[in-house]
Amino acid sequence: MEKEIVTLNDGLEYVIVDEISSNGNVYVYLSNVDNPDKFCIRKKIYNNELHLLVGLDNDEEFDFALKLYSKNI
Amino acid sequence: MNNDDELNKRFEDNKRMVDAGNVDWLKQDFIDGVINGTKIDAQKMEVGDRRSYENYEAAKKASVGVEKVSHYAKRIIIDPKYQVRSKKIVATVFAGLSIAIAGGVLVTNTVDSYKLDDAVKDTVGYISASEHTIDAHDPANPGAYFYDTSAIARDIVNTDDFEDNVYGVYYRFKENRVNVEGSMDEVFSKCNLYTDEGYASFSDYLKSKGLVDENGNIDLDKYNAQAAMELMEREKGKAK
Repeated sequence: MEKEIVTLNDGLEYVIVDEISSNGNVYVYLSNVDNPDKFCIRKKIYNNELHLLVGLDNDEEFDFALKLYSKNI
Repeated sequence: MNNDDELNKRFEDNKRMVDAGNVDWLKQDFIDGVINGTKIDAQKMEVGDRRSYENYEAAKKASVGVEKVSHYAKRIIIDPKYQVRSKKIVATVFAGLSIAIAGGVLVTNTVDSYKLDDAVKDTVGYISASEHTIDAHDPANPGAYFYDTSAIARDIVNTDDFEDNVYGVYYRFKENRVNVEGSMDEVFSKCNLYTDEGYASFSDYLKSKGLVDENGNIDLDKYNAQAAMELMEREKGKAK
């Protein structure tokens, strides 16, 4: 089984917990490898032939994405 | 324990906690409470809720901000115990393939999903559909979007790999999960602005390929399977 871990802009390693598509965005849910309480969300985008993870636009988008996730667990 | 073993263990511990819902603040009732405003009075919070609320605020701070950019470079760790199992799965899939071809049936699970994903995302169709997904910037509906179907049609209509590019567009729209057929119809309609040899609609395109069920309705499962297999066959041909 392949396991997926990414390093974010803070230099820390995160487990990819889930990916959910909604309204044209793909939200990536990440949990710090060493502390599951440390959780964050990114959007996956494709730019100049690179896949990037970028922060969310605002607090409302964070709540929106978090609700999508909490419904799934 | 080597580095990968160590990382494997940390990964397993983390996934077990989150998947089992053992991270209290991520539970739906708490999230709903925070978002609806019923759990935001810090003075009245119980200790557990206060800690959860702090985690929620920390996650928000760690998530919001378009300046937070990193490459989506996944570090893949192969757990050795799964390698043996995967060999057995491959053998089973090959056995299934022979039977399926004998019956004239398309088999989607014989396509290596990882390689397929890479191949589709390299198509002009997928890249164009991604580039021409436009954020509506609607505060009432964050993340709402629309497509520039004219631009997508222009990008794919005269390409040598038209079939693969149609599949690339379809794959991207399908990831978005919203109005896939309607959006595909619109792309085909716009293709007719650039060619005299187009199709009236996506349905028309699928019917011309015989991708219909016994009732004559278009069969998207068949299309997905056939387009994926054809794309992978062409990829193999290019690699030779």
